[in-house]
Amino acid sequence: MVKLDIVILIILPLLSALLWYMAGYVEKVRNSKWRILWLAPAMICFALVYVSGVEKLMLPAYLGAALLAIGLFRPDKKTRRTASAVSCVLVLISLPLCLFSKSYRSIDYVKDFNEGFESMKAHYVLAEHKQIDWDGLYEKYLPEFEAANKSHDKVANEIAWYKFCAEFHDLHVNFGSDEKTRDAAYARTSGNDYGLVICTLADGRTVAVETDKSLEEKGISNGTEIIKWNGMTPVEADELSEMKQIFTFADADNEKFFEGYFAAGTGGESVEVIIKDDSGAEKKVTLNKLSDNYYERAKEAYKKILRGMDVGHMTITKINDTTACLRIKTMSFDSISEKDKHQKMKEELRGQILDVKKQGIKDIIIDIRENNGGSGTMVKAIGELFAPEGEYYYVTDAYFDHDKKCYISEGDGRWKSAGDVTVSGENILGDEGRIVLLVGCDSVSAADHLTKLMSGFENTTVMGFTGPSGSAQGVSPIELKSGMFSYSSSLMLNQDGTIYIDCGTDMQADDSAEVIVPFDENAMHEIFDEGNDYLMYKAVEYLSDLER
Amino acid sequence: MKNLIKAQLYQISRTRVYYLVFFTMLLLTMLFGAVEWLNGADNLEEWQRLTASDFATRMDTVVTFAMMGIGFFAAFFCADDFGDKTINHEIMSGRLRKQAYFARASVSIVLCTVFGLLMMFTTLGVSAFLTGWGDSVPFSAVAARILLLTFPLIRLTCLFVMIAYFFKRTGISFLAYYGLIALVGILKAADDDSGVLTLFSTINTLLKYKEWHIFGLESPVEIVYTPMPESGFIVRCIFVSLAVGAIYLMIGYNYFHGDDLE
Repeated sequence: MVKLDIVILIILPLLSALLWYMAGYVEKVRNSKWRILWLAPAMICFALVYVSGVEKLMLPAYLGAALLAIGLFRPDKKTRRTASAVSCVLVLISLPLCLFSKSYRSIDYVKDFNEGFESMKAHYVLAEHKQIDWDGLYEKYLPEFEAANKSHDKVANEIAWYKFCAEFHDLHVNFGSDEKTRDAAYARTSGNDYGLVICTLADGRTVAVETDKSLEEKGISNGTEIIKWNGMTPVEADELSEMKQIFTFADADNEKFFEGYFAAGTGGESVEVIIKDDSGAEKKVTLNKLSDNYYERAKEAYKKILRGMDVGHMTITKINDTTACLRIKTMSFDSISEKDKHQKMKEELRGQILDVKKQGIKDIIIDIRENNGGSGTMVKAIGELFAPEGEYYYVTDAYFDHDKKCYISEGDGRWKSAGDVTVSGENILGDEGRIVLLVGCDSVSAADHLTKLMSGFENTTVMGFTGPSGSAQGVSPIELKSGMFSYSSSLMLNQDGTIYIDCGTDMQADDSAEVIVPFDENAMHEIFDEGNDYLMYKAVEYLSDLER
Repeated sequence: MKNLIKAQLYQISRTRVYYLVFFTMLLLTMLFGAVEWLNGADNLEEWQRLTASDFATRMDTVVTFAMMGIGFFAAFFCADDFGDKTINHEIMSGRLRKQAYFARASVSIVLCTVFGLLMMFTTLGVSAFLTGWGDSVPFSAVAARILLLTFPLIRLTCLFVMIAYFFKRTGISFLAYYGLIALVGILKAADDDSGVLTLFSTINTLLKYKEWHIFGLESPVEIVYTPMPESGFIVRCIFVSLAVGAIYLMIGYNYFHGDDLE
């Protein structure tokens, strides 16, 4: 687009000069067809604008091109030459405007927000369930988008969207432009890096993790208890973090797990921290800012806590003689599987499971940590394979009224249903086999489905530091100028017509882990000091201790 | 001017080749309308069947053919009389250039626009007859959108009238349609938020229904269409199409008026 604007700015003065010359020439070599020449600049400019799109700062140049058409109507030399001169000046006015104005080729973020907002307001299926105050949200966020628009700040626009999306406590409400802008947005909101991240242990103590080596001389290492951060408890300091506002959880328990996590980004050039030293005594230390990007350190700690087994998608890895791990990184297999409802994938997986069973494997750990969701039919196929014999309820499709073009509410939080979806168990592991499903708060959407489905199986235990995300409706994206915006758009129900999994105003999602592994000192040490997969270890331990 | 218009209409009604082109184009649109039925739509389950209301949401090919017809008729209505010097005789016998120009332009605008709309409605009619209307979009919304096409079709006809008066040759004027389509095919258009910057973006916005998808685990994907375009766009479509059409006519007339004076 910019290149084409440059072409316009170069070509129009050249055409003006040419027409200046032609104004004299056509008086000598007379032919009425010459007049069409004066339409050429407008036609060329129009063709270029057709490709590049209209840019308001180029308006003088467009006007200049149109002005030359006067030569068609007033075929005298003086008028034509005047038009050429004025056109040239107009084109030259556009040049500095485009060069020095920040608004050149900028996106109208307010218009984008309005488009996304109106679309969501019309189609968001959880509006009633979550009691969304659309007017209140619009009033709250419009100024943020207006400010981003005024300063033509792409990152500010990204932050405004993240904050807006976080209001819904639905991990299906997302906005994203590109990785660079996303990182910039998180970096800007995260605050300063003082060399540590604060985590809350299961017993309520807040401790340092992911600590920088430079803090060792001040007596801070992984596991050092942080009592106060700049005069506040870490949980209180958390509230000062802008990054906390853009981080969203659909379930209150998941949110609680990360209490205090954002605190270590708050503060100025230095912060005063009260820690508990090795002797158990409280000690005040001053920490200086290491950089102004807490996000990088927080991201690293987040990954370490939540990451799943680092092997390929849909691979089965032997953990010990009787246990293997099936790693499912996302709920999609390949581009054709959706067409056959993942039946070929199921056959392939069945073959793999039967192979490892021949090698003595009895139990399977299905690792869906960091699983960002995908296809419901894949969930169904996996469920069918591992379910004990018999029929198990999965989900209920909501009824969509063709005439009214909407789902039908039956009041009291219930919706009209179209039909139940069930799975017929194959019991591939046999009666002795047991399954542990490993989840994390970033097991989203179809991973939530699998959790909910398999938690109904007698042979399966769901395990994690927390439950899965708690966001399970069908999602659709819309493309905005500044990025992709997606939200829950297709309704999934329980058998009684209530909303499937997603939380209402109480922030209690309807899927959880049966066994919550406490994030204690031991877990913290194994994860941050030893780099071990603590949850996997606990899952294996659970299976070996299980009475059969 | 009334007599000139009558003369034009008489001439058109007596030219066999126009009927031939008209009915050929109409037959083509009927085939477009029947395409789903010919593909075996009647053998499909009801929810799988593409009905006329589905067809209405993807009629851009039909409009391309309608544009070709408009290009043909406008070129012949306006430029054919240059070939046998009829237009020269008109002017020599005391008719004003303004009358000669606007008589042909008005006849072209009315007939070409009616022709374009007829093509669209014929396709739909055939499709509805063979596959039923369906429930994707209501007929009233489709009819309203097609009727709104009147304005971009007027804009298009005015463009061809202008071109016809530039070239004064039917063949070359008609070829301009292919030039235009080739140019649009080669150049990738930028997003046009207003929807009225070009003729093609106006037609595209009118014929493209905003859509929304919903799905269930075991129920098919439903496409939910927004029946009517935004009111702001409708107003822009009418005013801009008429204004640009008027500019084309003005340029064409100005050129014709001063033509052969130098």
